[in-house]
Amino acid sequence: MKTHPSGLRLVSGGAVFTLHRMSASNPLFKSPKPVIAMIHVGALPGTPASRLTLADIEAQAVREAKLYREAGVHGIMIENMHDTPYLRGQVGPEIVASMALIGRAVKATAGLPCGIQILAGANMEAMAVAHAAGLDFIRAEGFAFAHVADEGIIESSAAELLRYRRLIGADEVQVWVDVKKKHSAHAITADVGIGETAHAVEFMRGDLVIVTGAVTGDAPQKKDVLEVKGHTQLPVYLGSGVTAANLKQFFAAADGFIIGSEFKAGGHWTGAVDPQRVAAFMAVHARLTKVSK
Amino acid sequence: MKNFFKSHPKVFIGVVHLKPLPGAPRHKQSMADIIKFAVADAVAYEHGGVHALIIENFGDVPFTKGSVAPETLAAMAAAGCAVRAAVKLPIGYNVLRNDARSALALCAACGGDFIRVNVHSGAMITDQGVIEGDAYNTLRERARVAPGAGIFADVHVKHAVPLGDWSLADAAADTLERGLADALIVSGVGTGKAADISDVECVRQACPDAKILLGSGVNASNAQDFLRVADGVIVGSSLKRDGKLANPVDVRRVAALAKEINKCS
Repeated sequence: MKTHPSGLRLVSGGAVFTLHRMSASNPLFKSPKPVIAMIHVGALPGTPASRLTLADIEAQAVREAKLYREAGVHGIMIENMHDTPYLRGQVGPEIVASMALIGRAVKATAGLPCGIQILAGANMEAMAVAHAAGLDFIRAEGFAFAHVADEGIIESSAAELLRYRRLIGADEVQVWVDVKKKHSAHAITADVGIGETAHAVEFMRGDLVIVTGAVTGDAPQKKDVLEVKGHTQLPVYLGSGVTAANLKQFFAAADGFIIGSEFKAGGHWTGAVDPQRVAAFMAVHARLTKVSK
Repeated sequence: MKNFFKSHPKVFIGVVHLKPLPGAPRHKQSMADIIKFAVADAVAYEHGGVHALIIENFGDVPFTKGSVAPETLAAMAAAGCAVRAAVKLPIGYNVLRNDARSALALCAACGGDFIRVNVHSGAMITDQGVIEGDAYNTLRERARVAPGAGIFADVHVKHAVPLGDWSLADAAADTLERGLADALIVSGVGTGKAADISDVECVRQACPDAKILLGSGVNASNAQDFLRVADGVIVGSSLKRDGKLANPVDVRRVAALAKEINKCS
């Protein structure tokens, strides 16, 4: 891949990133600050809230992928968000098979870079699905250090995960990593700052760092974003609570945005994708992109 | 699943042997190529006149006797949904060597109609070591994720010998009555090797009302003999071009066997 004249070429795990001044760009995307839209797939077979057939769940995910594509988002991520309460660290074969099926259908519909997260912390399963379904990235929690999530203690998975990626020949799949993840207690790493955590992610060959607020729908702290940016050369994406109203305040600092709740009816993740909300956000994004050029 | 045997007095099931999948020692091809090969086989089976397909991770030797890894399952799901989109036939899964839970998961995800379980009841000494049946959990898992899926269980499965003094007749009766299998499968000693007709007759005598399928070595010249006693056949090896396992499915061989099977109906 070509490197920007004033940039620095950085090889990290499965991906090659080009750094240019303060922003790190991801070769998956043409947009300098891509918007990744969330598809929260319906409760999957065997989970407590399961009620739709898989064909219906797939059809709904495909409908949302189409809406997102038409609205001009730059990437899509699927997540088994409705499978509460989440298993910790691994999921059953019915979830892997279901997500592979949905991933394939979403990728075919969207024609965009697509990724997957399997809750909670089922990073190897997500890697397996990404590789089989032709997806481009996974979002991993519990990559470096450890924390207490609502599922219990989640520990570092980087060593096993990246060996596994090599074993199955999935080197092309990027690993996007949450630091000081939402819905979690971080007292056990209270003496490790968020910047240091991001640095560890880079050292452990993660491909990208995600900063979140306290819970789904909560915006990150600006100081956290800046601290992370100061400690890693990896791209830094925001993973919760970014809205059309607050995008401007994060736009310069962050390298990309993962958007779920803001795109849903009522601004809540359980709502249906609302094309008007997506369009409104993308318009703000386009305006800010133009201004920053 | 039940209609499946009703609409076809003698059932013809074609086996889609998947090439080595990601993570397996012999894995070479891209997922796209593996899927393309599987879909071409499935379409050839459909054109040749099979009534159903079973998809197997046949290339993944050596097999585990336990649960397969997620990369195997994810790859089978990707292949399964591509096959489902390409043909109109009922589809089943056999996750080798004995991962019934994963096979049921594939039914749930890809709309499968049945699974094949190599060791459902009792215990067998196999090339993977001692494998014990787990009918208890398999039936509960079916109720949880794929209630409509049929369980087609081998009796004294190929590439294995029974552990201890357990007769074929007793194994068949136990698998049916205590394992609640929906169909029994009788095979020879290995893939491509025909069963003894006397074994099929023994299972029929032990289980007069069971659905009995042949699980190895059936071809156009022996199908009629078996189908006098059995209700259907599961065939892969003899339907490949030149009869070679690694080759694509030969639609003419499928059609020739379909003709023999339909004569028995």
